[in-house]
Amino acid sequence: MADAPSVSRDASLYLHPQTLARLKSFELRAKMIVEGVMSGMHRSPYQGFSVEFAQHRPYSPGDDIRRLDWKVYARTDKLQIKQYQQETNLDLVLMVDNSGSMAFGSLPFSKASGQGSSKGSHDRDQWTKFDHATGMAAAMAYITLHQGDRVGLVTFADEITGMVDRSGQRSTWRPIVETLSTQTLDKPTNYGRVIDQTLAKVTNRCLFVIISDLFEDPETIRSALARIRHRGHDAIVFQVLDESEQQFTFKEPTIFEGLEGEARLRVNPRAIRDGYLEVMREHLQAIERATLSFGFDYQLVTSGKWLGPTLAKFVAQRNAKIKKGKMG
Amino acid sequence: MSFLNPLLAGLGAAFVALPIILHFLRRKRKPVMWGAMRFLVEAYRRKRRRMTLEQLLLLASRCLLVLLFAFAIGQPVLGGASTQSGPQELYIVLDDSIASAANEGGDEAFELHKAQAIELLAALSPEAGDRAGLVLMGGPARSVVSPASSDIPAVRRAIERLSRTDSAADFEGALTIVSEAIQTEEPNAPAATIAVIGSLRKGSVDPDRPLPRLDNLGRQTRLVVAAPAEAPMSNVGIESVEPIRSVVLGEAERDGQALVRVERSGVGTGEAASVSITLAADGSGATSTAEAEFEPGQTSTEVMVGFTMPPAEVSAQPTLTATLASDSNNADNTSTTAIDRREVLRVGIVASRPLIGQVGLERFTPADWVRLALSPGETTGELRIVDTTPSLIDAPRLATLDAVVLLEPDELASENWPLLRRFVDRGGLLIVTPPADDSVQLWTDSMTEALGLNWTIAREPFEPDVDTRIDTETRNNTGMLTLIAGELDQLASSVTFQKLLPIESAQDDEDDAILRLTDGSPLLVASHPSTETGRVSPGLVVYMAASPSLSWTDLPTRPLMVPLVQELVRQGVGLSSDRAVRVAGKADELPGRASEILDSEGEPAKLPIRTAGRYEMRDAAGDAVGVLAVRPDVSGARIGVSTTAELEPWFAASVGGTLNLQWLGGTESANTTDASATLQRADRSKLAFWLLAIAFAFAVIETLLARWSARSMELHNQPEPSV
Repeated sequence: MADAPSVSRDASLYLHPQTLARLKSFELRAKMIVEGVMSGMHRSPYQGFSVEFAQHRPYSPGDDIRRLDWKVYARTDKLQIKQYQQETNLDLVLMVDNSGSMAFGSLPFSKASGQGSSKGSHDRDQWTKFDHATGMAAAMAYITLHQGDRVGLVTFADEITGMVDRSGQRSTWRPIVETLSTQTLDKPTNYGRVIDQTLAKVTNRCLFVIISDLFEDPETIRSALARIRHRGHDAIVFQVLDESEQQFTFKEPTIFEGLEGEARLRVNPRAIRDGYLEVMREHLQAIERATLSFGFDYQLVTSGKWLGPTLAKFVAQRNAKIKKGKMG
Repeated sequence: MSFLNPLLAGLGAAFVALPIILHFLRRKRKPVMWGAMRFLVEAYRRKRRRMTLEQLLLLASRCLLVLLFAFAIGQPVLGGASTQSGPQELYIVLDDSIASAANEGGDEAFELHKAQAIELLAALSPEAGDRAGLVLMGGPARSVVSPASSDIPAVRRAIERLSRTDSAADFEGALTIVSEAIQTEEPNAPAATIAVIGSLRKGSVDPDRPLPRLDNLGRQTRLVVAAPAEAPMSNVGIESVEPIRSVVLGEAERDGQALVRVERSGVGTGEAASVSITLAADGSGATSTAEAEFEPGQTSTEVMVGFTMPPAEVSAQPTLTATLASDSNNADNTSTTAIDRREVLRVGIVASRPLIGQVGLERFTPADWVRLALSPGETTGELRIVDTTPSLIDAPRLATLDAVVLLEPDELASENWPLLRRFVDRGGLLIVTPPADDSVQLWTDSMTEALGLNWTIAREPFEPDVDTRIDTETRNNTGMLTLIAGELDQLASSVTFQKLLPIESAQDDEDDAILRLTDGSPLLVASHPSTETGRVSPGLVVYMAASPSLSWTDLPTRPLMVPLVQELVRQGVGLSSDRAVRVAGKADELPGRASEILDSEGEPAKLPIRTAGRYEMRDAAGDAVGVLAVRPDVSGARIGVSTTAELEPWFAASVGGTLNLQWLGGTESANTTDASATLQRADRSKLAFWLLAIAFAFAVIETLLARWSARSMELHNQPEPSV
């Protein structure tokens, strides 16, 4: 494990002050009511001793008489029980993909990180998708902890490779970043197994934030998301891709070698580009459809782009949807 | 298609390998670590066939592009070097042989050939730097203008002045002269055109003999050949006229006979025919006529024709002239030969003289028998015998003799053999027999070595079977025994042999043997000695395997002895002496006694003599020493038709393929042209231009193909990722 100064340095590497400054004004809200042990800004499905009134219902024998609305009884002579929307805190589970394919990046690290460093984690010269995912996860953990909500972390490839238990203490941010910065990127992905392992460790309802390139069969992804949905959790899916993976800007005949142990392939990019983009587009659409079909949010993230605008836009859209749902 | 710069074209074509090499070199690039392999693999799986096809098309178009550029810079020309843009060099190889005397459509073929040559010259332009050369084919071939001259009118005048020869065509020699003339190491020498003009009838061409190579002379060479004459004709020619008696002695023999050989060619040789031959000796005032008969399929025949010798005071050295009736080729209808008329023949008998007088036949020595055979009756004065001994032989004595009969070669000192060799080389006849004693023969090696004979003579005599006789069935046709051939069976039947010293091996055994024995061994052998330089001596050496001694054979006492010795000497002298008869084109050496030749107009004739006829020989002092008869080379007048199909491989082999061969006129071959078109100038750059245009088109296609392969790539103009 890295020592504290190096961790701090790594953290600052990913959480550029500009990124955090742009996100500070937003509150991260869950679209769905999640269960929490702390009273907070998030609505709880358990109406009880909460402070925010929800509705009345007729009294039934056995009801707690302390919840009778005496004012209504005085006016209407009917016994009505007051129901309150319980305010809870948000349990955020960050799931960051550290499989081999996340080690790909085409932009120079110094240009993407915004700090002028020439090398990032794992001594790579390029700003990898994992670098980007790490930055996003750290940013979201930071914001969530400053809201007073609990945050946990799961890193995964073909199984869970690292984990930080959920905690609301602001100091949790440090082990999260530390865990993120010490992962190796060399294994294939197994979403089914990882989701099952993660869900087994989560007892209350959570907001899962999945940050991955999702280079997996869409059906497998769909199956994994279905299990999250089945357990009543909410999820946000950030699909992180490098710009060259989206544009495929190679020109000269090139030998490509897979980062997850796939065989080499020599192709002329000029000839294969159309086909590649078509396959990629089909894949992205399939992932997005699968995500939205469960009511989850989906966002395609380009690893070369600045973190701030992407996260800010996403949080703003999400909050707007939550408020709209409340008003309705 | 060929190239004016084949080296450049070849070098450029080798660059076709460049795209392929680059294609393989690129495979060695460092691989790119790639995350989204699943999509790449899927895309590749979907597009693999199309991509392979595109890549192949791209590679093919690139290779073709390089190839077209290579061809363009090689300056291609179609149909060999038929089109030229620079100065032209034309060598006319004109057939002036006896074949060109054929009557082609009313005119002598030679005149047509000359007109065709002049027409070719007219297509040349001295102002453009064109040059012309002229080589004549009549054997031996000779150059008239070589190397090529820019004075085209002079070449034309030379052609107009030409006369036909009576010699056979020398194709090989003519093209050798041309090849030596156009051989160059100059890098940018203009292409040479060799125009062969002749009728190409059977007498002129021999496809079995390869022509000299003309395609490796340092410059582009093209052969333009006049199409063979197609008119079927027949021709009869006199091959030779030979008097039966090769030497005529004195005035005694007034009537003679000559063997006239006749040859026919062309159409009709499958049918029987006869031709009338007229023979006359000049000065005799008498002519004789005989019919030569051809059997069906027979192409040569002979007939014996009598003649009358003119008186010596009218014609000391008479000639015989045989004549045929006019036919398709009149150049071979007359043939002349010289008659060797001598006042006396001097025969030296070389043998040691016995110390005591001869009494009785059993004491007769071989010299006695030979002397008796040479002068059986009273001495006529025309055949004189000179007795000498082996030790007395010297050059002055030999110089007075026409023939030498050496009966005791073992007694001859080794230093005297070269004297005999010189005697033979001057045209003398040498008759050698083994010595009468039966000791080991040590002289044979000295003789064969000194005389340059390829014989191996046994060292010891052996005794043949008692029934060994002369085999009259297998005697050859040297002409030495022609006059006694009819009686030879009868004369030879009784001759027996007790001892023989045979020739064990001879290189030309079959040709040399005059008479054989029934056991197959040669009894009489004759050969012209050969010199170290390969030339054949005019003199003749005759070896008899049996000594004319009764201890060896009873021949001296038999009736055959006298005619045999007489014929051996008289015919041998005639055959051994340097006869003053030559064949046109092959008369490159004068008889030894002549130092100058004058033609019928009294003008000195140059060697080799190519025109048939009667020439007067002069010695160094300017005195007349006889007549030289030159007869036409009838082999060159064979008038059968050749086809372009037969001749094309022959010519094409000389110029490296049919691309560099064109036929002038004619209808048989597709690769024909006419005289003006043969040398027509054409812009060779046109072909190169079109090749460049096509190459440019392929460059565009290649670009489009390359862009099509990556058509959306250029729209985004993205930089290559630095992975």
